[in-house]
Formats: sequence, C-alpha cells, structure tokens
Amino acid sequence: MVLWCPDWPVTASGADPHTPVAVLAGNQVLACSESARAQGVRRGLRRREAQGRCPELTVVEHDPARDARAFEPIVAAVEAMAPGVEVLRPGVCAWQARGPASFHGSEAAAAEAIIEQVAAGTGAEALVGIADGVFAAQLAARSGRIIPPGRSAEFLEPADVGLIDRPVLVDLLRRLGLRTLGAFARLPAGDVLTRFGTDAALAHAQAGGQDERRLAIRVPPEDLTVSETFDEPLARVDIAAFAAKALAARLHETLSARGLAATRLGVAARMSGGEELYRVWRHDGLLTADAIADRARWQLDGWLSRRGPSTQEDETGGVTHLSLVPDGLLAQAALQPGLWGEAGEGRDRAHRAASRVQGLLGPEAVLTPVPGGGRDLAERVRWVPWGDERVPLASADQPWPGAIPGPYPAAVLPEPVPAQVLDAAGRPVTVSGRHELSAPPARVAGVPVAAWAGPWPVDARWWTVTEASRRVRFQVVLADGRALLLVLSGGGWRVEARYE
Amino acid sequence: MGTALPADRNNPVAPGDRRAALAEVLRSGALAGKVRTATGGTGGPAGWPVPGLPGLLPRGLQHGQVVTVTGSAEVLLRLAGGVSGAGGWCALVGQPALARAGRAAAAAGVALERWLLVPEPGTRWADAAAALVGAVDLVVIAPAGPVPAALAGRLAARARQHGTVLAVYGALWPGPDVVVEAGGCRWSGIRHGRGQLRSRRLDVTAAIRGGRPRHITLGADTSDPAAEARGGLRLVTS
Repeated sequence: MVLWCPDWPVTASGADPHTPVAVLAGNQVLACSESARAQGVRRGLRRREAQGRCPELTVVEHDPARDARAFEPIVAAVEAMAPGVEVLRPGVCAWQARGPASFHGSEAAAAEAIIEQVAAGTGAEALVGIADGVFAAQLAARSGRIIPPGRSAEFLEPADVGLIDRPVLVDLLRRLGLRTLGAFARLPAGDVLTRFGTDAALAHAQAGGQDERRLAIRVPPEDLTVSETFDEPLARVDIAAFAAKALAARLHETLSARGLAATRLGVAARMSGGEELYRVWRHDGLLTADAIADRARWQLDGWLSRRGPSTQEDETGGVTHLSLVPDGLLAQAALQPGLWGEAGEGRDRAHRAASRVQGLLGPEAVLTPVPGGGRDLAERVRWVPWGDERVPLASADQPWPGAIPGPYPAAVLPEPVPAQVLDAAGRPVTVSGRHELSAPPARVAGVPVAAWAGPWPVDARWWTVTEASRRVRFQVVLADGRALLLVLSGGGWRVEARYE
Repeated sequence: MGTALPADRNNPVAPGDRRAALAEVLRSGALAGKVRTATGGTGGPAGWPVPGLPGLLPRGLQHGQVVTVTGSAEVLLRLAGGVSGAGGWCALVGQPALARAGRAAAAAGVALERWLLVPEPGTRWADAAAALVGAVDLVVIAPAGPVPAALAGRLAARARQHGTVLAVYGALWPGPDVVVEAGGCRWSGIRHGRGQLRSRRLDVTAAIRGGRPRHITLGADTSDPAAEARGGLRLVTS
C-alpha cells in the first residue's frame, strides 16, 4: 500500500497550490502545481522556458530538508492507522496493506480511511495505491487504483519503460527497442542479470511486478532521553557536572545497547527559579560517553557561572531537573569519523576547544571570519559563529568601487569613535554636497595632521531610502605617526579604523 | 681491592672508549630529530617560520614560547600569519578591533578558516585563553590590565606543555621568551590632500631571552596591486 502526495515539493514549499508554482532544482523544474502544468510547465524545463510559457509563475528553490520536514506529520498520521510505515522519499510512503485491510473490511475501505485521516490531520491531498509490490503500488497510487492480487504484471505491462528510475539502463533499453515495462519484463531474467548486472536484474523483477522487497519498517522513535530530577537544587558546577556524568554514562549505555550513536546532543535543564534551558550540541563524529559528559558539563558550567558567583545561591538557584536528549541517531556501523569537511588532528583539537569556549560564553562568542564583498571594512569580512556554515553574504570577486584599497587597517573599531576635526583656524571641517572641503584638516582630536587624503565619497544604495548612506572617507596621518581612517557622515566625524 | 676492576664484565670496551663513542654518536647527528625535551610539544625542532618578518627570528617561533608584541598589530598578525601559513591554527581572545580586521589578517598570511575569534570574552578571558592554549598552535591574548603573576605563570606553563605559542599584545607579561617591539612608523604615498596610504616603513626589534636583540626595518609594499593599477580611489556612486 503506497500513499502518494502529488507535487509534494510544491506543497512543502508552502506556496498556494492553486496558483502556478514551480519548484526548481539547479535551474530545472523539479515539480510544478496543477495550474502551472495546465499552462505547459513540465518537469525538466529550464527556468527561463518555464517562465516563458507561464509568465505569472512563482518560482521556489528546492530544499530536500524542507520536503522531509513537511512530510513528517503525514507519516505520523498514517502511522496512527497502520503500523510499520516506510518513507520512500518525501511525498511517498509505503506500508503493508494486510493489517489495515482486515481491520476496515476491505482494501478500498482502508485506503479511504487513511486518505481521510491524512486530510483531516494535515490538510494534505493524497492518493493511495495498492498492488503486489512497492514499485507497482507507487504507479497505482498515481491514479489512486487498487490492483487485485496477482494482477500487477498485467497492470505494469503497457507502462513506459522510463518509469524504472535508472536513466542509463532506460536509454539502453529504448535503443534496443524495448519501450514498455512489459517488453522489458519478457526478457529472460538470467540474460538480464548476465548482460546488465544486478541492479538491472532488480529493475527487471520490478517491471515484472514481482518485487518482493521487504519493507524496511520505520519504527516509531523510542524515547531515549535520560533525565534525572534533583530534590536539592544543584547550584555548584562540580556537583552538577558529576550528576551529568552519571546521566551521560546511562545515555551511552542505552544507545549502545541498541547499536546506535548520537551525532547531536540536547542538554535540557530546569532551574529552581522555573527557567527552562535547552541547547543542542553538534558533533562531527559520534559522541562517546566521555564526549557526552564533557558537553553536558561545559553546558552546565556555562549556565551556572553565567549568573555570577555571588548571586547564584539566592536568586536563580540551581538545576532541579536535567535531561540529555540524543538526536541525529545513526546505526553505529554506518558512521565514519571525518565524513565531510577537513578532518585532521589539528582541526579536531581546535574544534573541541572552540566548543568548550562556546559552552563557557555562548555559541556566538566564538567566531570565524568569512571574506566577502562590500564597501565597508566590516562588510568585507563577516563573522559567523564557529560551527556554522562559512557562506559569504556578497561575493568578494566582484569589483566594489569605493571600497578602501590596501594596505588594510589592522584595527577596525566595532563602534566608530567620534572625533573633532578642525582646520587651521580652529573651525570644524565640513564637506559640501559637491565634495568640496571647507578647509584642509589641521588637527584631529587635538593632534596636528601631518598628511591627509580625501574626500572619497561612498554613496551606497542611494536608491533605497532606509539603507542609503552618504559618507566621505579620509585617510589621515598624524604628527605622532599614527594613521587613521576617518569617515564623515551626517555632519559628524568618526574614526573608523586605525592603521596599527 | 687496590687493583683496578676489569673494565666491564659485559662490554669489553674501556670506559674512556665508551665516552668517546657516545660523543661520536652525539656529534654525528644520528639522533637529530629523535630526541626532544621532556616537556616539548608536538611540533618539530625548527619552530614556525615567520616569512612576514624576514630576518627577525632566525629560528622562527619556537613551540611553547611566550612572545610579547607592542607597537603594531600588523607585526602581530604577521607572526600569526607565519603559523597559519604553515598549516597551524590560530586564535584571538579579546581585541574586537583586531578581530574585525579580517582583511589585514588575510593580507598578513592568516588563513581565515583557521582563525578562531573570541572577541568579547568579558571577565572570563583567562578561561577562554586556557581552553584554547593547548588546542591551537598560536593564541593571541590582549589583557586589558596587568596580568596577575600566578595566572601568567599558569598560562605560560600550559603553553609550554602543549607547544602552543602564546602571543601577548600590548600588555606587560612577566618573563616573556621573546619581546617584539615596533615603532618609528613612516607612511608614504600620502601628501596634503593627495595620494593615499600606500606603504610604510616600520622599525621592528626582537629580543630573544639570552640573545642579542635583532633589528629589522619593515618596508615592504603592502598595498593592493589592483588599486595601484587603477590609480587609487575614484568617485563612484552605485
């Protein structure tokens, strides 16, 4: 029994399915809504072509994670009526028909009941198909048909050979003149295996309606969370850490008894003041008992010492309830350390230390710079918290006219500091709308100016009212050898950076 | 009792010959790279090269050293650039202004993907620094005030034990291994209302404990060649 939600990527994207919508993956249409299809948009079209056929088309980027997330409630709804649901891909799930069919009296009644349940629970439109194998049932679901037992081969016979999702094999079969699943299925199985290999033999069996692949059953996740309630609130870090260590050992035991390993760890604590705290820790490799204990301890250390040593006893109190929530579970055998990214001893050590400091000061306290584009010094290198993806906001490769050239200042002030810039007569220096200087600057904050250059105007985003900023920049070398980058905007001079 | 004992029951070589053989082995260099000090870190014997400050530290930055830098953040970044350029990891605790100078760091040779920043550690800077010392290859700290001797000793011991270079910027530190001072900065390329900051000369002195101070003048043109070609800045609106 297979449940199929038509145009799932479109539904998951949250766009109104009654308007023309297309989901694009890599500039090609992956899925489109019914009304877009009516106007000639097809799967595989390029963005421009699709927009040409349907000018009012809404275009959404494909996000597999979003599809999977949105599909979860539907799986849960099905699970409420049928045990052992397997997700084939977001939008399609399968389960054994026998149980629900005997419960509802017939397969048709069971299908009807599940469609209703899904519609009532999630509001999603779905079709159900029943056939002997998962492959045939998927095809049956597209038309909402129920194929009687033993008739699947007959049902598959006229279908296009392209439905077996193997482009290379399909291309070959087409060139051999085999255009339907039936024609492919009539080839002797032994010849298919020797000529095309195991995968093709599997496809051959599917085309003959005989895939007896056992469903890999999705077991509803067990509650693996370990928790502990403390009668006496734990206010001291070392005592809390000791409790966390015991919990970590228990969690690790629970996980390894099931052959699982966690890649993420949630630490949740309830404080005696009633505050609920929760933070998730990510890890590249698998979390060992010690790693779990370390993270729990760092987190507790961060939470408890954040409040300040003097006030911790009376005001917020300590931890009354602590739980460790494993997440991102993997079968242990499938896990290989350093699966992605640069692995190495140096990186591991740095990562551990950075995580430790994040536990002390919060995840935003440890940063790593990412070069990007922009006219401001601050824009040209962006900070991202350690552990997040290093993606620049704007490309550094494009020309950024008006950006300051090298050599670059080694101290970029977080908040530009106001400074007084006076001319030789002691009057404040101003710049007119035509970038004319009232008089050469002679003193900056009381220090004589040895050399200066400017004004260099930066008119960024003049087309928007809110983001527009008109500024002029100056470079100034003072008599004591210091060099400054000054900026004048809104009539006020500020020191933006120092060349140290 | 009065007679000499046989030279060695197990080894027929006389004591004097043995000493000579040992001296021979030590001289031959067969042990080079195989022996390291008991407290030595993970690195090799040569230390980190510092190509950004040519001739200043002839043996490079040694693992586990404490270096104080005053007078120029760029010199500090060049030290970090040497470690980073050789594949090491660097971290900066405090100094939000220096942390923001990512462009200057990249120009000094620091690989930004191996540059960890803790710009605002607040009162827990020592904890943050202690966590990073021993995990990365160079840690820059910039304490706001004088550092208590006990804390300084603890951090330095930890750095020595793990082979991490501890670079102290702009603060006094009891008993550093290397003192780097920069000064006498002279800018060129800028005049009254014309040109732009193009390059500078900087006098840098390094005093290694137990050695004579070395002095270099940094005068390399650090400006952006593309900007040179364009002839400086232009009036642009976009």
